[in-house]
Amino acid sequence: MIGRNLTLEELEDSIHQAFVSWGALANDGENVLDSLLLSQWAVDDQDPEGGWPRSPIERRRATNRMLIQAIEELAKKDETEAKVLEARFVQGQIIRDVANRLYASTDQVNRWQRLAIKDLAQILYSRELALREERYRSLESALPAPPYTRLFGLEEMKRQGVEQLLEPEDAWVLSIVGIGGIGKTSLADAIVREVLTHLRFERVLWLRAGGRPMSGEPLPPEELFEQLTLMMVEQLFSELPPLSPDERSRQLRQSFIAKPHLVVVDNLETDESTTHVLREIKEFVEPTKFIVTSRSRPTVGVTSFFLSLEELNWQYAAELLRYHAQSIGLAELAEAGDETVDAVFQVTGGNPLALKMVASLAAVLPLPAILDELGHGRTGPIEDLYRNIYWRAWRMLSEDARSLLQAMPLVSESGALPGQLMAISGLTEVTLWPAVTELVSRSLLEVRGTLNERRYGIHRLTESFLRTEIINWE
Amino acid sequence: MPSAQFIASLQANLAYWSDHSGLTDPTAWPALDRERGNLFRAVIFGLRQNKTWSKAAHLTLSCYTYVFERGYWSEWSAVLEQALDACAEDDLAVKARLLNQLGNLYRKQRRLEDAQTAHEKAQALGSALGDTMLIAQAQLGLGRVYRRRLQYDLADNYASRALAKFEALGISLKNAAHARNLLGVTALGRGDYEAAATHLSQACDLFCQAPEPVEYGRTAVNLSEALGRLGRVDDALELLKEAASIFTQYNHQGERARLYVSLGFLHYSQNDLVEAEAAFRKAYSPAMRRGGPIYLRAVTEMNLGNVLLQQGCIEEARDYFLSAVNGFRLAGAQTMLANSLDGLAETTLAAGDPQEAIALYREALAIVQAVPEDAFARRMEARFLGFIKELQSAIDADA
Repeated sequence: MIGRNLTLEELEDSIHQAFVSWGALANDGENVLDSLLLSQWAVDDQDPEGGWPRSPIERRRATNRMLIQAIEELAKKDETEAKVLEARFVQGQIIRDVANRLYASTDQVNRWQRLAIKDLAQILYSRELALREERYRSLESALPAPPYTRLFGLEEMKRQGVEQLLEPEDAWVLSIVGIGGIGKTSLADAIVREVLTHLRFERVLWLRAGGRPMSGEPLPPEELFEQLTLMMVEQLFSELPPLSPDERSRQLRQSFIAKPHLVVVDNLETDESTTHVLREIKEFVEPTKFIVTSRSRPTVGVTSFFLSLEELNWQYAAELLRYHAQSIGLAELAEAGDETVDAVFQVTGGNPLALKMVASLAAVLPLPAILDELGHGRTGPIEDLYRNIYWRAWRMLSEDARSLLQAMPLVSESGALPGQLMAISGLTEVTLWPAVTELVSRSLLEVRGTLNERRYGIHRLTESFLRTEIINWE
Repeated sequence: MPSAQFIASLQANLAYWSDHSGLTDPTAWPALDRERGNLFRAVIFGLRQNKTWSKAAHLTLSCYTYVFERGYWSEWSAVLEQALDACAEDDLAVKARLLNQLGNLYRKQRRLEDAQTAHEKAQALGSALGDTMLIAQAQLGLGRVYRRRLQYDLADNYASRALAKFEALGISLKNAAHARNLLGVTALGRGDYEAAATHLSQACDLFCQAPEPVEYGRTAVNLSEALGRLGRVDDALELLKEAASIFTQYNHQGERARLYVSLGFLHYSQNDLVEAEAAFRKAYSPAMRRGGPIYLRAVTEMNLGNVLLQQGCIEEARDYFLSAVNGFRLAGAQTMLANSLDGLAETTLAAGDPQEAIALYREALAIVQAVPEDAFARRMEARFLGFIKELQSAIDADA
């Protein structure tokens, strides 16, 4: 269930408790009703810009408002039950007086009251579930399309990350560290989607850090941070007039401190930028939390909880390889024995992107030939392995796919729409989609955007290969 | 040297964005915001290659209105700087246009020295080319810079020279309207409300003919202030109503706050305190309360402070004045800072602390004495001097 676990019985008890203490200034102890989205909604409705957390008095008033609205809805179903609740708790009449008014016995009134609370709980329960679902969908819609269909070997890290983010106190930053193509973005995405089901955060912002458009070189840290704050403001405040950098920081600080937000900064490439970002976001945290994915582990800045991604072990690498092979229709590799998998693993190690690309190559070329060629490059840095894989993949591409791929460095992190893809590739609508499909199946093109607006982009490693090896851009 | 195929993709990409109707259609700008990264990449890549520089430079120039209105000043300044670095020595006309655009973006970022330098360079290039339009645009830019500095004589001088050139050219109503608007707001700053009303009214007519509805709306708000000062309240209210309708139609939410502030001030000047407070509170939207543009927020807070002070709500007024003072300090808006210090001093006095009030007045006095051209500053100077003398006498008498 989305949000805090809730049972009808628990809700009934809480409703009764709230009715009994109707006139109290604040709820006695912790009341389940306070945690309902319905209740929070009722508070926000009265004071949309109020700070967080709300005072006990504000919450009590919200609870009462919520109950009154629910009684009004109950009245449409059963007028008598509604009347009993209204008279007994809102007006504070004793049972005997209520019984007299309704020409009923006290036993009958007691029965009506019990049924009324049950029915009221059912009304609130249904509304709460619907609200939670709506809230979750709204939060989820802010996320880019997940870059994976299934995670391998990351369940424990995901659990740790979720737990850390749901802690009400520090660490305020979850830092996911690892080399390119190791799965940082996928892990961050999985953690965020899980965290969102708890409905603890007001909004989620997903920011993808960019590099210099021409060279792909990382931006200077200060420029990068300014770019990030611009993205934050755009996602949070679409209707404000333009702001200067100082104004933006002030605006963000106030919003992030007023209510808890979850901000993802994906793909920090250098030590300097990671350190700088972690230093600057100090003024934005608490209760807001950040997830930062980077290639290096920062040593200064706001208190962080670290998740360091290493290569997959053999077992998970095998699972990923077979799963991906299955997904691209390569049944033979999907069902291959351990010996075959081990041969691949000896070349790619547990690098997820490399495993996927080798599987994609094997759809067309003989696996031994692939491994033989790539095996020579494995003794060097991981970048050499990727370069060799990319070259292999490039040579296999159709002309149309090459026309599209070589132009993709012109596309920013947000991805491009089909119209722009056709323009930069020279392809037509008829020839574009087969090229897109081919590149996606080879793990060379990433699908982003939403169901209604698909956008296409490339991995940073792919861009780097294209610029240096194919386009020859200096 | 990049591959021929990539150069072809670059050229196609530039053509794609040059043909994109969203650049000149404000209703398409929210969607274009999502594409901004791709548009900027097209320009940046294109500027780096000789074969594509010219097309990229023209696309750069075409993006100006979108970038300016959407507030991407800092990001785009870097692009313009890059375009200038790569500009061929003999492409002086394009260089001058880029410099003028850059000057305007620097001004929006309060980089007034850089803005002045950029416009002066553009003016020099325009003179070398004998291009009247370029010179006029540079002079308009310089006028705006001087006005921002409250140097009204210079602002007036440059605005007049720009206007004369635009009118002589007779080809750009929009530019002439901007020059008239600048003359109008400069006159407002000087306290010459008749002249302000004349210029602003003419600016409105020109924007109407151009047609530039949003600019017309903005100028109408300026004109309403001048008319309000002249006691023509009904005319002023009509203009604000018209402007509100335009901003709604063209979805310019950012202008609405400024409009409500003007409306509130109009009511305040007529002593309609309840109406004034209602308008200021509309300007003080939830988004504005969370932050908003510092200057506009501070103006709103200062006005709320004034109206609440008049209604005897001293504590609440004081909170708004304190916030406004902070805001104007950050924004570097000296006369408004002095005005807020004035309000704060009044609340301090009402709370029974004349010494502290005197200190605030002294601070405000030092500020207004530094800007002798500003009519508002001159009025405040006389007022502050009077208060300081009166309060000091009272303190001395008690002692």
